[in-house]
Amino acid sequence: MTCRKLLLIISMFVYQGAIAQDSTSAISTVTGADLYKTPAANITNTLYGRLPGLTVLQGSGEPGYDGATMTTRGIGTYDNNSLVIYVDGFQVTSDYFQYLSSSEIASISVLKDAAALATFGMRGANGVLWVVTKRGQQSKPTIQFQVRSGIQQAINIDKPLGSYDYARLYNQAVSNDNYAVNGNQYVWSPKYSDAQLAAYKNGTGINVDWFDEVLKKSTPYTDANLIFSGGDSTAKYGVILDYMKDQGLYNVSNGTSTSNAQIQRFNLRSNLDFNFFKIFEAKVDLGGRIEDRRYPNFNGPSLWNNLAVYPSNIYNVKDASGNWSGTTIYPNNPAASVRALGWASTHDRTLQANFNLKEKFDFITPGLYLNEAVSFNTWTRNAASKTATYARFYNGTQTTTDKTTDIVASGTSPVGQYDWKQANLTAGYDHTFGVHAFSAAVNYFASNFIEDWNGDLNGSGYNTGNNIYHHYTNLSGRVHYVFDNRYVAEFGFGYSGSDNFAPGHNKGFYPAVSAAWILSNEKFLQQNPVVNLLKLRASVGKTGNETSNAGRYLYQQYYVSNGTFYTGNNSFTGNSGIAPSYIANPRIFAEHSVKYDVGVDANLFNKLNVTADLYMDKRGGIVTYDNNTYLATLGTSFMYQNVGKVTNKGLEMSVNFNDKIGKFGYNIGAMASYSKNKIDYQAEVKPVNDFSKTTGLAIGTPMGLVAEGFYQMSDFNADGTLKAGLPVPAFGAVQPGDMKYKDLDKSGYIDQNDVTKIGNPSYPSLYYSFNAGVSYAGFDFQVFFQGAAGGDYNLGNSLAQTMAFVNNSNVYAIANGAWAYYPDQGIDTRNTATYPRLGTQLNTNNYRNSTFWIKKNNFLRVRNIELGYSLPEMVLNKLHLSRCRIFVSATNPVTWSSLLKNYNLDPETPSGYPALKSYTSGLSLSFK
Amino acid sequence: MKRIVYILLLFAMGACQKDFLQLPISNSTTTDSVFSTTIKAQSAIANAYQRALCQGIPYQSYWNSMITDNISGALTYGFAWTWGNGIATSTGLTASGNIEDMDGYAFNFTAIRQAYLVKENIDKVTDMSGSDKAIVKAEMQALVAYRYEQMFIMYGGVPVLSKSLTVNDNLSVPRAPLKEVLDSITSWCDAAAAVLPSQWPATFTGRMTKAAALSIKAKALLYAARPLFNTGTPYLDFGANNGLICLGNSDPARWQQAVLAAEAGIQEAEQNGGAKIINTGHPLDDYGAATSTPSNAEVLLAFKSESGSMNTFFNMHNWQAYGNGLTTNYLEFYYKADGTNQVWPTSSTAFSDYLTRIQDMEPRFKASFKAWEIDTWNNPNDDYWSNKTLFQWQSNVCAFPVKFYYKAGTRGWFEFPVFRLAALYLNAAEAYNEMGQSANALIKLNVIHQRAGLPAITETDQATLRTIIQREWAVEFFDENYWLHDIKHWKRSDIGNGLIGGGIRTLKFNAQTGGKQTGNTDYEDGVLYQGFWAPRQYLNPFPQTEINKGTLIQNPGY
Repeated sequence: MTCRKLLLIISMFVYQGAIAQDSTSAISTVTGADLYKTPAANITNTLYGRLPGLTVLQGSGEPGYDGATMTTRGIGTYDNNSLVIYVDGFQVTSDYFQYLSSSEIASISVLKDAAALATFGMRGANGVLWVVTKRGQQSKPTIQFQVRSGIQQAINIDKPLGSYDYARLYNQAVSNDNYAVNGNQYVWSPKYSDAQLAAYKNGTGINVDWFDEVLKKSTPYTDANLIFSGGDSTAKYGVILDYMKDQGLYNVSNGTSTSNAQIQRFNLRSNLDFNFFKIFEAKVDLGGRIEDRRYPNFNGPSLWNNLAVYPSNIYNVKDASGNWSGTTIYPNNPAASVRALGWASTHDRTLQANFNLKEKFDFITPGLYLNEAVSFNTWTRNAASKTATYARFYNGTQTTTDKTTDIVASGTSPVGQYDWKQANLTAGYDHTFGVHAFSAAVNYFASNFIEDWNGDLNGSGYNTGNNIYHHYTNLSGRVHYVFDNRYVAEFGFGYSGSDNFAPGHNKGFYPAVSAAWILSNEKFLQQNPVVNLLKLRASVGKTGNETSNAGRYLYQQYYVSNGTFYTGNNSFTGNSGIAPSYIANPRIFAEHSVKYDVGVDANLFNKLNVTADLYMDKRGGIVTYDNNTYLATLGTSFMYQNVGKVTNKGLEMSVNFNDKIGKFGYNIGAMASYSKNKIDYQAEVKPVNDFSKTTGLAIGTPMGLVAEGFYQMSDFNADGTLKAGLPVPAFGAVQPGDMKYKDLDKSGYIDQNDVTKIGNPSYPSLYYSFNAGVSYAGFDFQVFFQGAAGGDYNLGNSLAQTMAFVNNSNVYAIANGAWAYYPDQGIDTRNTATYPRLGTQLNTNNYRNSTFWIKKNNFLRVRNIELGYSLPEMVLNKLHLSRCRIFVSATNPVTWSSLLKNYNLDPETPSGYPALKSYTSGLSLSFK
Repeated sequence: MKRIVYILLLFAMGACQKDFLQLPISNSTTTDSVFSTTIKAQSAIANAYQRALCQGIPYQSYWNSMITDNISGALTYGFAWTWGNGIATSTGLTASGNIEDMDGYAFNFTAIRQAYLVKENIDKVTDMSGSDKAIVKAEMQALVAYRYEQMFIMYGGVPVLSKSLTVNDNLSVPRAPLKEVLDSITSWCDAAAAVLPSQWPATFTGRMTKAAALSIKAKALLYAARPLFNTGTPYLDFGANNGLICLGNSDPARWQQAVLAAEAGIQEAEQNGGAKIINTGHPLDDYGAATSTPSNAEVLLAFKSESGSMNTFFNMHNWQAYGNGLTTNYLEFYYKADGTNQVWPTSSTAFSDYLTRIQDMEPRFKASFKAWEIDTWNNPNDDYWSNKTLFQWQSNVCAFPVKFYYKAGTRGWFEFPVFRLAALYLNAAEAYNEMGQSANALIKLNVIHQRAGLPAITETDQATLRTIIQREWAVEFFDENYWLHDIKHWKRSDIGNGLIGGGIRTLKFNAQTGGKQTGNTDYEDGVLYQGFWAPRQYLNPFPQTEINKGTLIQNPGY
């Protein structure tokens, strides 16, 4: 057993039990080397499809804010479902994890079942991501150098229609607006004349492609690292230096007055191991980094929204006088937003410092040890900027009060910080007596997290500002017994306490039992040439989730500011009001989860690995605003109670096959996770109609009306009212071409009582990946696919791209199918329409949630393709190298998606800063 | 040895856990600290006032809010997206949310709870005298009575609470019969009036007075005497639950009680409260001051608000108010300045005729509206209120409401009169007439009518005079949240044909394309939309979500 593996086992034991053959837990693991195959600034973007049971959904590609969303085993609660992340045995924030470099990472495991999570107690219910960093090995000094560089591009940009189509459709929209005014008739009353339309068409009119004005086609990405390691039996070292630079898509230079979006990251990790006096093993781990982010001085999401909603014909980038264009309706010229406002930057410093000391007391009794560890983790962010403003002009006149100013530098000022102190004390015992192998450990963990008033965990609930302290303790233990390498039994527990709950009522006990039967060690299979490993596992146990979106200290009765009452004569005296908030619940506690899991692990022919798991997660006591128990006569916000219930079930499977025929090696693999949840109870007030209930459906199931085409002219009387017998929409007057909905309860009205399930939640029920690789004579080739299915997308969530013209916004290709009837203009789409009639005003009927806007969102992406060549040993020896590999790779080069095909929307990042694809080449050298 | 040390360490950590997991020191307010000193208790008192008195105005400022005259036929319904649109034109009031009580049924009890919490905890305050505490308790009880009086009118019988509930109380409080609600209101008002001061020092003007408490009582008794409740046969048969929506018999003595209550209020207000009907002989200014000026002599209780959410739907400088326009149906209630009726043409007529006829209208009209192409009469020579500044877009309405903003300049504050002394006069006039005492009725009526610069009314026929008094309510109390309830409680026969339901008419301009800032050419009266009316709407529905919890009985027809 290598030293690294030994350390891994030690550090994992207390929390996860043994990871070896006799483990009873459901855990999947990926190595840092596999993650390195995907060049990405953010480590979460290397995890797609790599870990069965971990669903990773891509988000924005904005440098520095490009984290993917991670969940384990589907969604188990409608409250907070964030998983918990540990690095080297201590909990870290999501931000700390995101900018670890893959070069620092030895492995990432996801702990999924009760057996694996038992000892995490009140923080285990949503699963745990367990990260282990690279350590030195007992060897001669080695130096590894890796560098790679490439270009990144947007996977997809959804561009609006140009000026001609905008004006053409706007004429329809504005004519439609006048329907009621024109005596309930469609009368053509265009805003744009034929001459203007012709000018747009032949290119003499204004037609600005804002995306082209602001973005460039591609942007560079670079990272490089240097890894030193080595050591002997007394001391080992692993030192990693890493640099990364990721630039944004904005077409601006990096200078004193402008800056592209970018992040530069400098990581330094030093993991040291010492053995001394035979009984002591010490570890000193320092993982520090600096992140420098810089952006144009304009809010990123607003910029992307402006790009999406500013029509092409509003003005040229600069007006005739050479000044930046801008109007009161469209004040923020996107081209000027990135070029004329200066830049803003943040500067982050992070350090995780861990110390671990183990004493082996074999001289007292063989296998006895004690372990003490502490971790200090600290982060600060400072901000600095150089800013300017610019005057807006239109046709030579200034349109707003903004004035062009010189660029001004701000001082650097702190904007965020946290520190996190954690301690772990462990007493353990490991011994084998004949056929009985026994190991046990008991562990005490204390955590003190202090964040800023605006910290991640401080946002919800009352008393913000005082919610900066988070104290948590956990006494845990595990007893693991193996009989004759065949039968394994384990008991684990956590006894956790959290300061979120009332003193005297803030601790919970979370036990788990599990067992495994290693069939391959039975006599009848021991000599079997096919079956190398066959193990059946089962576990059941309880965990908790102390972090609720409802906030902390729900047992406290808070009073909140509430309005002002004025008294007095001409000069009013304001008397500010104060009133009780929700009713305190002294018994409030953490939500709990009971997890069941059965699994099988097999290795056949020494080539084929199969793991499959079937699971169920029964959540209970979910912190829920109890709408149902109390009547309005109580006269106040109601109570948060531990009453919610959710059942989440699913299965996971992974298959990997490796073989070598002569010089030709190949591997194929696949994994799939399927999950399905159901809300069993959520204190929902019974709706008028049973079909409107959300209890019994999956979390996040979209609710809305059932669309059934568009109103036609034959549906209306001459005075514009609907013909007798047609249900009347309660959302405002309708006219021909408006969306028509089903009156499900036959009340004669279409209203909120007709709302029902209209599709599936956006979260995919099936998440899968498959990959293949070959190697021959120094060449290696890998391709990795990842897909998802079963989720639906609500086009209404991409308002900017789907709601044409409303609020002075833009128009996209989807609106080409709009219902319209102007026979004198040759326009008649009454029978072919695929989109409601256009309008320039907010329409409360057409843009409601309905089946019309719900679309299937299945997709498959090529996440990664890599081709590499490693120099043969003969050449290496001449160069004094142990390894030299060059490679080219492509990340996210291809996507198949119906949403992309039909609506030009990326399945995971439909709006805002797009997700990225990249093409990279690199070099990896190891010196001996 | 070392082992023992570590084990001890483990235990030591365990022992100090208790403190480790305690809530850190916090600066948030708890029940104990709220009621520790007078200054702090003022905040709780202020909140009780604000929540109780906001009834009927869009307090929570939902973007799709409305004002009640959007659904009474007085004003157009507002915008396509406001609740007023659905209620006025298509669905009427609905149990799924479209009710006139736009802050929501539940909010009544939020206000009541806050008042009771103050009442029950004020004794904890250490630096307040016993007599002051008694006054605070009386104020709170009067606020509860006000909220109940408004619920009584809108919903009929509602659950009656005499204290703040806790989660451990029996929360399944059913609707009380109308009679019980009425009796609770009158007894609470009597008890409060016995303790409340007649006047407050200047800085606290606006808090409950004796006259305000008596006004609450008078209003409740007036509505109890009106035909909707004062009957054994309710508007829709409710079987065994008839007692929730009517008083069980038709009793003329209820008018007597209404008269007594109104007279008691007038007497207290004028003799001790320093109140009077403002009449200096300049009708526009007098009526303008009475409805706009803070703490003027005619206001007995008001909802005072600095700039912000509450005024948005009333002030024509805010987009929320742009949808409000006067209907012809309501315009016709206003007299001409000479006391005769104005006639509006139903076929296209030159715009100059509009200017002539509108200039002929009575002072109260001019103090409440801005007409097309004319700078507001109630803010003369003020560009902020000029025709040019207030114009938004072309539309077909008779005029725009500018009431409550007499000589307002750019002020942001807004004072909504909850009770004016004038209401007690009309209370009394109406009740005297119903009792057959037309002479007494005319005395009270003419105080109001003549203050408006109009010639005295001399009609003595009971039925004719009833119509005249009702018309006076319309004109005097436009936009003060009376009309919608008045026409329902009078059971006006034309409620479905020209008041709430039926053709809602406006003046239309420029070949019906809408009035312009200048250059209007012609106008005519015509139907703008068909108003929705169904008899179930005499009372509001309770929210379906509350009904579904199983304790309340829904009003009939919903």
